[in-house]
Amino acid sequence: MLVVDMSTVPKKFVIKPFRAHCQMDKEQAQNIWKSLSSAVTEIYNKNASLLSFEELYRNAYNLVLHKHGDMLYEGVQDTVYTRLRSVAEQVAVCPDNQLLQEVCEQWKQHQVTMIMVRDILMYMDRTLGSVSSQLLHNQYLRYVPQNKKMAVYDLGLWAFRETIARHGQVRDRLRKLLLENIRDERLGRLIDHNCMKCALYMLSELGIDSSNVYEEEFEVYFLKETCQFYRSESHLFLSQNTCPDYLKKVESRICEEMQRVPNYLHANTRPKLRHIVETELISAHTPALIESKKSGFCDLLRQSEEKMADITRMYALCFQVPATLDLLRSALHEHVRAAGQLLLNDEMKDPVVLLRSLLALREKYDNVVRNAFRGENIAQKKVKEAFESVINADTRCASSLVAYIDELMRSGLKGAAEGEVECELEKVIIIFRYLHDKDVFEVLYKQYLAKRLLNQRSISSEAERQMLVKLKRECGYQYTTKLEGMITDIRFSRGAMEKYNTHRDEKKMNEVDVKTARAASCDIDVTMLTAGYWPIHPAIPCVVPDVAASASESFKNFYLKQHTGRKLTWLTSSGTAELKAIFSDVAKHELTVSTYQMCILILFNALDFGEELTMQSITDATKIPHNDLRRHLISLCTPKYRILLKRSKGKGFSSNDKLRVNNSFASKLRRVRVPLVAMKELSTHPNSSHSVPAAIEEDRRHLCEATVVRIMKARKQAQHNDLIAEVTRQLSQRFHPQPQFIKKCIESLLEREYLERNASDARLYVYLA
Amino acid sequence: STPSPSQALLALPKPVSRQRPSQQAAMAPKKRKSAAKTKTATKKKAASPKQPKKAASPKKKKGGALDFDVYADADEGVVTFEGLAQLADDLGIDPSSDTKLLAMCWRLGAEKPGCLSKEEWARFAENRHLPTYGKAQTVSVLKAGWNSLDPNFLDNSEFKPFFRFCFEFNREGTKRFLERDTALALLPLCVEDRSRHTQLFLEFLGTKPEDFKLNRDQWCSFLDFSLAVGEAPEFSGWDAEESSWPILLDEFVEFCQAKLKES
Repeated sequence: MLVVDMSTVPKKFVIKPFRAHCQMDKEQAQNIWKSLSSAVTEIYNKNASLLSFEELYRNAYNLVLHKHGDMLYEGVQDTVYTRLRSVAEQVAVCPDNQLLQEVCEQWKQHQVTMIMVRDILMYMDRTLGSVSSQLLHNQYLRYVPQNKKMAVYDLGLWAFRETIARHGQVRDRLRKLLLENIRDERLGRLIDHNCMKCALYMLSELGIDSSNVYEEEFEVYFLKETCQFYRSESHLFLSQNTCPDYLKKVESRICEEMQRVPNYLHANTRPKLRHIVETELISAHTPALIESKKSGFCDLLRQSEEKMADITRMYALCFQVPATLDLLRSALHEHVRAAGQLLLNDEMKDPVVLLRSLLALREKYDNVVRNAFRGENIAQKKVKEAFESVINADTRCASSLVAYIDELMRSGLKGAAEGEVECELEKVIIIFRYLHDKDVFEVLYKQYLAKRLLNQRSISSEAERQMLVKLKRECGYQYTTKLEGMITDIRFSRGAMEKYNTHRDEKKMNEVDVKTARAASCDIDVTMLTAGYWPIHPAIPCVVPDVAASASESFKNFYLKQHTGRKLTWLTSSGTAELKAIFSDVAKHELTVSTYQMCILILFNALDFGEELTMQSITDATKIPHNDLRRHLISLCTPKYRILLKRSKGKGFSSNDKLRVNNSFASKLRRVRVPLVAMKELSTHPNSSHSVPAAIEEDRRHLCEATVVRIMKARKQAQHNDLIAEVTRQLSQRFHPQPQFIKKCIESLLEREYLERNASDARLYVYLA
Repeated sequence: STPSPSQALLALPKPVSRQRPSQQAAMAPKKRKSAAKTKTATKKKAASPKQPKKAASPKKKKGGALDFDVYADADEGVVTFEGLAQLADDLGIDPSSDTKLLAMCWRLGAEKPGCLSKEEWARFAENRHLPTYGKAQTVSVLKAGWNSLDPNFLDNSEFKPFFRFCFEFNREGTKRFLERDTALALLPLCVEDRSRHTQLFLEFLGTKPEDFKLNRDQWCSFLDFSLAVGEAPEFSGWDAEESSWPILLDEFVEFCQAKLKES
């Protein structure tokens, strides 16, 4: 326990404050003030160099110390006001052309004076707790006690504002002059930047006690004026000039205005000014600029090669106002779509030419996007969408694309370097990517590929393979399996034929009578096609002549010995044969004809000279299907290749028409290749293929149903919308199904009880195991 | 011989003269089938006079027991439409307009279309919803409680399976659909006043070709559609973009809208 003994606490010391010995009386103070007052006047009169600042400071200090601060403050206030009132009179009568300079001059003078006065009265400022304008502007304002006074410098600003800046004859004139000057500069005249800068700086400086003089007295009017100026100017200019000129003008105008800010405007004005200029010059006119008939954006796009700089400028300007960019992009989209549509409108256009122009179109707008649109993604997407809508309008583009690739593969790529091939194919793939009906493409591509491979028309198997690699990359492994299989078939066939030929030669060597062996057989070249890969429907083989039959039999035996368990079916509907034909002693030709034609022509060997065969007897002997027979016979009776003569006139054939060999057949060439007349079903004329073929439609249904079942099997149940979305997603690699189409498939599955609707939620499908 | 019920139970025209049970010949259904095919059911319904009950039904005199053997087809071992028509006759009701007969079959849990097996028939004694449950199983007991079978008493959740049953019971053997005309006759009877769309829908079906077929999903969805979607022309609750209704119902809405636009 602590016990404090109070009696031990020592005595307290009291320190009394220092007392001034002599109080300054009123009179004394008045005298000191008088000297100070005259000093202030001297400073105003630019005679500050004659004064002793030390003395003045001390005087002011003493006054404040002896509690005459208030008197000092009021005195200074009085002096300043009086002085400024007389200045105001002087300024007010100034004519317009000198007013600006005069105000600036007076302002500078006032500033200098006030700085000196502030320095002299520094002690007063501090003691009277005057609050500087910085503090007044910020949050401490509310803590400033009522009796605190404004700092002397701020007092000066205040006085200047009240007496001069807001003087009835100065205020409006000053503003008018400022705005007129700016207008003059916009119209191309030179103005005094210093003066402008000084006056505007003054206005912003005068903004003490939270009222923003610069904004209220000048900026509001300035922005309004700017708005009006550019509104009228842009309308006028645009109506008299072309869009590219207008764009150039806008570019320079924006540049000018932005330069104006560092020249004499307050930095805060910059965003406001920019917004107004952009709105008036760009936003307000974007639609007009895009659509303008004579030289608008659309027009520029049409001649994008020459006008790239203008398009780039247009984009750069719109880039500053994001809202207008969308307009620009939509215009691009619309333009590309219209241009593509124009190409497609020409129904009779050759597919290869059509595709070539589509490629050119794409290249053109790709360039626009890359150069003028800075390669931005949104514009790229817009162009892509435009192309998609053009290309998927009907199935013509799919067939044109296939025809174009066929043309490339057969002749277009001849002599092209590896890099060029790659480049060409890459372009093709881009169009392919746009294509929704990839399954239509596949079917057609297969047909053309088969033709190329079987007729050995492809110039480069390397290019073929490259194309397939690209397709595989786009659509996955399954898409190209069969196509690759076709190419592999051809390669294997070559190998197999080589083996067979060596085997046959060996066998021949062993034959005793080489001559008879050769007479009884013919050379054979077999291509082995895997069933299912090729778009060829197996038909019942026709009856081939003995000599060909024995050759094919020999090959068959050889092949089946090597590959046991396989089955060979002869496709007599395709293939060619070379025949030596002796029409007369002088006309000996080698004919290249189809297998069917070979069978027909050999029949005439058994007849006497000039004897005739009826169509019926040909059918009986060869078992060639009726339609094929007609086609192949017509091909042998065409005016150019009139190998057979028929009794009846005209193009048609009746079953008892009689045919005989045309012994007077003549041709300049020794080798004659007899072309087949085109069959109507085979033609890939654009008109015939506007909608998706029924077979493909059928395939799509199966594919769609399979997809639905696969998804449902994995999920067990799914909402209608989810299911539609997922099926669309999965199928989009092959084709783009309509929701209605998927719905039909779902309904069919509901009917066949693969799925059912949930009893309580009709939108929910449930998978039935 | 297995005469397949070619027409829906309720859609059947009544045979002109009822065969006696003593004459239960296997030939009878065949004859009726051919006769039935030529006529549309609903029109006939009003015209056909009801038969005098007492004179027509000797079974009743025998005590009117609900014996399976009395109504079953001897050859097939099940109660077919024949037997049901006979029962209707005994009850004094019109089988082509009274949905309570269908409701009875539903309560008996008929699984195969158009017939009741012996096992199912036996449920007269087991099913609480049947008037004969726990009582003497006679025609008169069934008749006394007949009105309790009225499907109008069912609430929507119970009615749905019954509505589905109407489809199942009236389709032909293994087929998964109803012919257009059958559907036309059957639908208004089954759905009664639960749908505001019936009249328009029948009109719409009428525009379809005669060989049009209505499948189960379409049949059941019509009821769901009726319960969920408001009356024409607004069809509130129906969304063209996101519709998961069968395409047939989408077409129906389009049909109605086109029709209203015309007038």
